Amino acid sequence: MRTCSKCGVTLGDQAQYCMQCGTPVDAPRQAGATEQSDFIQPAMIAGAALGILSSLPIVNAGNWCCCMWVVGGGALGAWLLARERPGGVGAMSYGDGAFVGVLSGLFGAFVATLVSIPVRLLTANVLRSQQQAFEEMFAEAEMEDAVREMLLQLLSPDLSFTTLLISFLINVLLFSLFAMIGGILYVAITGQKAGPQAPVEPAAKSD
Amino acid sequence: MAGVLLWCLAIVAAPLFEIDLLYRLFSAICHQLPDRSWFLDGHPLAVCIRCTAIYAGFLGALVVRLPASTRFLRIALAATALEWVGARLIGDVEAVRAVTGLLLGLASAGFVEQGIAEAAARIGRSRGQTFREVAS
Repeated sequence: MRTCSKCGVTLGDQAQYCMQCGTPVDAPRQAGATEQSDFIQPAMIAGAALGILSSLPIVNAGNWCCCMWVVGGGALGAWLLARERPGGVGAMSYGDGAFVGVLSGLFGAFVATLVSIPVRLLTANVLRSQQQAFEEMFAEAEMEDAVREMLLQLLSPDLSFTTLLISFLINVLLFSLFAMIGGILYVAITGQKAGPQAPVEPAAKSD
Repeated sequence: MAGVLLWCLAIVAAPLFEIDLLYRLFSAICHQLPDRSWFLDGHPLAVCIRCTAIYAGFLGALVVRLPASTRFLRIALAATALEWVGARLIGDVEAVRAVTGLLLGLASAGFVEQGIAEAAARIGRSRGQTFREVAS
């Protein structure tokens, strides 16, 4: 069974062009432009956006609202992918939304960790005063010691390899998960599902 | 479903066993304000009421195999957005926050489950391919 190298649609035996996207049937899969124009580019853009928003002081509080920036980043990745597809979001499956969402989250985790380094260094004084303010607030709220210590540690301006590594691992786990949900829900809300995507067979097996 | 169950158990386990790591993990996705959280054994849950309700609804939908519905999802999202605006303009009601969160969780689960299954199938089909080939 032959499939289109660009959109994955099943092709007839005699087809010379894909009826859905117009790609020549014999067009090589490694055409460069095709590779870059599908999942990776939207995921990188969305990942950069969600990573930056999730690491800027004050702005990153948006993630306290159901991981807003991360879910939004996954949705942004799905939107960008839909713009590149000939059939728009209607041609996307939930699996496409999940896949671009996970990639966006992974890119976002890298970006967020990288951006957080200069941000923490530049805002050390602000973080220190915030830490003091929170400490007073926690004391008034009679918060549990363990919780208070943990929250204050997160607000600490001190930068260490361990802190960065833990932040990165948490980001990888949470960003990929919630960005995936964002990608799926974007497809669910805005598009009409086209059904499971046609199988993508390796080039070597399709001949 | 096992993953979601584990996620929900972690939210409950954090206050029960006072596990700092879990509080820290969930602090990345929730404000964890005690006055907007339910308490268990004298400690706040690892996430706020709205988040707890969303995850509980999500788990419930998977347990009862609730079918995915775009209309239900749109209504649930609109209700949550309305509740958020209403809480700032009129007043914040804990029960409304919980109910809208529960609806959102119930409405989302079917789509997320289907999306994960389709993405897993895509990855399964692509064994032997490079990452670039899978992602293109």
